[in-house]
Amino acid sequence: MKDETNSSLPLWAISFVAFSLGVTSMAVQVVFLREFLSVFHGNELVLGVVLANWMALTGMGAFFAAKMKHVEHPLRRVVTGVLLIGILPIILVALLRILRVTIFPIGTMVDLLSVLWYSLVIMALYCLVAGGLFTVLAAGFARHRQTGAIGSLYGVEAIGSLTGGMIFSILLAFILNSFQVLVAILALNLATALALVRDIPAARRTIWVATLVLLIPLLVFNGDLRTREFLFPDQAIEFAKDSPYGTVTVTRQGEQLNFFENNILVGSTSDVVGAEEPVHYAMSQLRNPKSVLMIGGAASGAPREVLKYSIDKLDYVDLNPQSIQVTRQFTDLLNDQHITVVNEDPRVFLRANGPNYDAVLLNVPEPSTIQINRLFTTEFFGLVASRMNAGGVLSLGLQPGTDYQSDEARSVTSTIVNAIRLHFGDVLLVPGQRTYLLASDSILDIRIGHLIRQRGIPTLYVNDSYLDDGDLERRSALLEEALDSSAPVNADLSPVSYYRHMVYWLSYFRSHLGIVAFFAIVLILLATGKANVVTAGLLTSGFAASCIEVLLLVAFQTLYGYLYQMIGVIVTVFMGGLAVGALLRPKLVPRVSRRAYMMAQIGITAYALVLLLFLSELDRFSGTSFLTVTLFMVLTFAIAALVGIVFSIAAELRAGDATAVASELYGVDLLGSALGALLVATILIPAAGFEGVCLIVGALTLLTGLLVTRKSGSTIVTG
Amino acid sequence: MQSTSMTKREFIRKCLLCSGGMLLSPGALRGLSSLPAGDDLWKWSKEALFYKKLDGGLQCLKCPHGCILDEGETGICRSRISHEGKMYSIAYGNPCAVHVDPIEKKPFFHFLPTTRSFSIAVAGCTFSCLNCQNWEISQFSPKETRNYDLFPERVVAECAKSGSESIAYTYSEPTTFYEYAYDIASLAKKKNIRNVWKSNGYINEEPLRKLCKVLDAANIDLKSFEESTYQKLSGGHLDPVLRTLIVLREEGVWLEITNLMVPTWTDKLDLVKRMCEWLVRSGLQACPLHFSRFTPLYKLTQLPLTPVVTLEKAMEIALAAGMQYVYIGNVPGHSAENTYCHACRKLIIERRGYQIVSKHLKGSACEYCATVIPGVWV
Repeated sequence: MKDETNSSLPLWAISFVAFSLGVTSMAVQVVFLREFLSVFHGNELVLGVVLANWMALTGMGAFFAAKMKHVEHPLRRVVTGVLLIGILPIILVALLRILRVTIFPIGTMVDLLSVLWYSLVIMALYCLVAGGLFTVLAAGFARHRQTGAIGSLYGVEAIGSLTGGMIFSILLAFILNSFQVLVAILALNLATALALVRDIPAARRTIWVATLVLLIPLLVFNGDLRTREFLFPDQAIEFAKDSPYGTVTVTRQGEQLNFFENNILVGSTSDVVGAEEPVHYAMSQLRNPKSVLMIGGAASGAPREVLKYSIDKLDYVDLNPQSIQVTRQFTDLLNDQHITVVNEDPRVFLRANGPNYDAVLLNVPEPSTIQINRLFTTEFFGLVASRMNAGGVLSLGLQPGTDYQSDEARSVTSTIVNAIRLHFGDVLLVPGQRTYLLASDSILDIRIGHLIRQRGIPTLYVNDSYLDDGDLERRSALLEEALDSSAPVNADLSPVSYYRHMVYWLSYFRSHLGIVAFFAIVLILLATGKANVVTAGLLTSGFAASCIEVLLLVAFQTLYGYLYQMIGVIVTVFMGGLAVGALLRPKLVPRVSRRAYMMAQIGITAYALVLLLFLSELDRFSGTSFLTVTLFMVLTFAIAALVGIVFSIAAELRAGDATAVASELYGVDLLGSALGALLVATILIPAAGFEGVCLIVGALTLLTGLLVTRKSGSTIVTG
Repeated sequence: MQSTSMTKREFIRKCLLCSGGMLLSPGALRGLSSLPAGDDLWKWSKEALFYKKLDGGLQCLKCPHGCILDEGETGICRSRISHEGKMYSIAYGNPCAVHVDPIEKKPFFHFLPTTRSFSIAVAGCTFSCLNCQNWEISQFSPKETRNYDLFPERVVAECAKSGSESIAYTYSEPTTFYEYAYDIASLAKKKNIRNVWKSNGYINEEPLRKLCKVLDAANIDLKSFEESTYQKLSGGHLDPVLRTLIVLREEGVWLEITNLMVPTWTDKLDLVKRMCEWLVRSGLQACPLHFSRFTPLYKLTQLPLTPVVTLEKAMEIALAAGMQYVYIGNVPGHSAENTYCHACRKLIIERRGYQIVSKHLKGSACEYCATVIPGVWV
């Protein structure tokens, strides 16, 4: 009897599986990234390493699949792959959380190398299977369509990613938690597997049993909460929600409530110092403050401290709606007639017309990510200054205060102080549990204890019982002396503070960016294993796509603030561009040749130069909202379409067995993207700035484009 | 027949991968990054006390780590180096942190209250605590920090100029700058300036007893009462620290003890009970015990603050076990900052922060019941 599980798949089935693979990969990638950033440190180094691992492993999966015998025809192989990519993510996310506290000491920050190998091990199986599945599908696709098979498959998968992005990153982002997303993905893949075996009763039965055994317990058993409990030992979880802004968790220990964002403590209900310092150092400078703006950090108790002054209004602005929700749900800190709560990006809020303030209290973490760095730039401080009453005070907190400040720490401080000094006449460093920066156009007074007593403000910690003004003055002077006035100014498109903070964070582990560089070299060596002019072009275009996507996202945020839905739209438009470029290439570039391949890459070079111009004139665009949004979408679509075209042409140029070609091209494309993901935010943007990255990308694609035409003659490139 | 030779490209690739892997091995990273810049002696060196020559090198005898150093090697503390057959301290005359602090900040509640302490530290530490507040000093070598040029005579002069009544060896781990601290303390003693030691207590008996001749007070961090926790949290061992407490008492140095309660690590109340029972059995019941509240720092950032109720329960346990003076630290405004007579339980010192609001002592005795309150009072 014929083994039907070894039969070939029809074209519709392959396309459907490819689409499903795209949906799955997009959703699972979002979940994995969110989880890794949550259990480890949520900065671009960790993000870059995890994303690079993801792409590299998927690429390697594509490579390895080509080595398997008879890769193109067994239905069984595809069904197994589909089931695995449905089942594995939920198991791996559970393991990620549980092993986090088993392998690493409880509550500790983990170094970058450990993040690298941990994420490698956790994601390996899923990524290798997903990458291999693409190769298997490509082989099957090629049996039905002799030309353009791989490019078309790439396009179909991109449509799947686009769909997955729309559903899970935009529509359901605020509704489903990680486990719920993965249960939905499991259901999708079980349904896909069932559709594939609809004519094979035995296989159908097996999958139905698997569906009942897996899905029902997952729906009943709160896997999300149970696994999350491992991350918060000896604490009762009162609230936990994943959101695009991070995971917000509230735990209880007796009467104490703890508020975590991405597992970092942002406030406790009995943290006197955390509540008082962000408020009183600044507000004690003012004789009669009436209007105050607080950005972030309400859970620390700070709003209550602000109300100790006879103010008329306190505007509280927070980007994360979950943070506002938990503060309201678990405390009464925001329940006061004087307080107006605004869920908005702080820069967007400040740009809009509104009242001026006597005090602006920036109660957010240090500039450890490009996103947070936007609140520590000269552009932001200029905005604040424009909304300040005469003599008003800005306050922001930096790294933990210590009895000695390392070179790395003072480097971060210097870049921020230099940015502030462009907009405020006086800057004062206050050594507290964190180091606080005060800025004003009036003269600031370090005698905090004296001021608090003078104002008659009742405090438990910020007063002359704990603070000796003489000691404050001495320590403040030491901090001031240690500043580097020649340090570059932190700016939106030159985020030096964020980069220096990255170096500071690495110093915790006596580590350095050499790890990133080495990882990059490994990726390059893997990608150039069988280098030829075609794969070189894919490597650079994949790299370009990653880099430019990040540049566009950050530039967009700079203008419009961090609007998660819009970012989801940008990512979706990117996927759409990829799909259109790959699928419509035969119509757009009917004749495949080396010259066409070269022109496509030079197209990316030209695009990079246009982007450079656009970024250098970014300031001009802030007022023309609809037009600029449209321009962003067009730019995003254009680069993605170009990359899709490059891939499609490469697939035609590269002669040989479809399986081998698909695995090679898909793998190299992903490795290029991995390189971009790893390097762009960690080294390239900080070192070269946005415009420098455009030049690097343009130069690389020009180089590989010109390489294509080195050999004359045949248009078909053989291995 | 397939060729077995390697291409040039493959060879280069393999070499790069291998050497990169070796470079990134934990040992290599640790080795590369922990050596101070240059292994030559510099101006701020002095021959170390307490070491011996072995066939395989020089062994430091200052702390229980007992590092054996080859030529040019530094120890775990990063402050000792082997050079031409002798061991030297490279932590002499080069403090990186110099401040004047209220003595209560150390904390000392029963030693010269409301006085100021001239506080210094040189980089280095015998431990590697995951929650170190001053990791930028403790986890580095003196060659990696920005230092003052402040030899012992000047330290004493600056202390006197600042109006401080004591010199505190603190912030990092003073055992690592032992020779420097000892010389300063010897000079200070002659000028009636007291010497106080804020330490992890990880020191061998002989150097400790020598030090006690010039020390007036010590606050020792008793980080846990569990050996495994000591190793995982700090990289040290419990027994030597307990021995240090006994020796300090025997030598008549005023002793206060700090226990930082780190959630999930050191906040087990049964261990607190065992610790307090041991302290009482060892004759240390009169030593003030400070339960300190943890805040996320350094590498321990994914933990909450210690709940105040945990600290209060620990305090109850300690008092029930027989400890006479128990305090809660890092909780501003808490009544457990006050001192209550261990005999009549009346409030004898009311504190607000580092200030004394009211005091009911007659000399060193309780104003109410005349019980002598242990301590060194102004």
